[in-house]
Amino acid sequence: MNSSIFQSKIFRRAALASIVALGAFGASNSFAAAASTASTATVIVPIAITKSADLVFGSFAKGAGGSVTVSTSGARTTSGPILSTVGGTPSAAQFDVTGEGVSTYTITWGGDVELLTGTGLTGETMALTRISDLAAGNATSGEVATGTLTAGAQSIYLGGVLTVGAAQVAGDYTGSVTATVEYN
Amino acid sequence: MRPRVGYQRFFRCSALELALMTTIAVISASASADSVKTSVSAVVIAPANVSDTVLIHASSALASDVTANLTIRLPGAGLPGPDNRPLHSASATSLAVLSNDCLQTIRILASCVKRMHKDGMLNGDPVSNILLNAAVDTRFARNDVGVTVTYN
Repeated sequence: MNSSIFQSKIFRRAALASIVALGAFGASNSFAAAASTASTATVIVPIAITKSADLVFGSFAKGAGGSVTVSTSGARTTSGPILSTVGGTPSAAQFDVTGEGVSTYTITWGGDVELLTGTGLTGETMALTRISDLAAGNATSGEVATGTLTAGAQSIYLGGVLTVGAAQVAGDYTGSVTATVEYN
Repeated sequence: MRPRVGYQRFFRCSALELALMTTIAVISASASADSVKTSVSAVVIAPANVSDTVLIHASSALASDVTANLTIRLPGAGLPGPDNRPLHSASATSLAVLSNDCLQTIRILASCVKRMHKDGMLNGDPVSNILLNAAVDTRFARNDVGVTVTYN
């Protein structure tokens, strides 16, 4: 019994067609004159991003519900919930981008849009709205989508707004945000 | 072992070429983009119950023959500000300390605390009949609780 794929009729025809096509390409070289060109290549520094601080909202009581904002400079404000100074110190997240000299790049945000405690039942989630800028400028809204490296470096700052429900369950809430940078 | 025929060699070379190009493409892609994840956290604390002990900032017990400004700081209120007054977060929990003659409703709790306590400071010796009001869960309820005060 002959089971080799190389000996099947269909395979032989496909291979023959490929060889004929390659021959046609090869034949075209017979009509081309030789020439030389200078080839150059620039190896750029790969773009990289690291995290040097996490986004921390700290502790607060739900109050009558509302929102807690951490600006891109790490300042915390509230509209409704009652802030506590006990527990983690509020801070904005910081990302450090490195790469090629002066070059532009895009920033894509991803990750969770709500923080979660327990199993995420009613009252166990808080919606998260991202805030970001490139200067820790105390921004309380908006997101940056592009950046420009200066001397191969730039930092991105991330704050956020948490929406707190009047029936928010007490607990430790966590989530994550992903920042992706890419050369333009 | 059977000898390799020409087309077998051709396809092997093509496969190698394809693998090489794929590798180059992957390396190129990783050089032009990168990503990192940060964690986001928050702690929602439960409102204090009126039966809870009020946290006093200082540790010395109040002596009846001494008069001084007294500071009652609620749990989570933190340290005083630069002027030695309690920070605004003195109302940092769902409880507020109100004296009996506070006529304002709990709904405007902050202004009531400010008015009655002079930005958190109580005057007098003794200071008595302090009521604690649950600002959130039992908004209009008043409950007598035992309060211990100490010097700031």
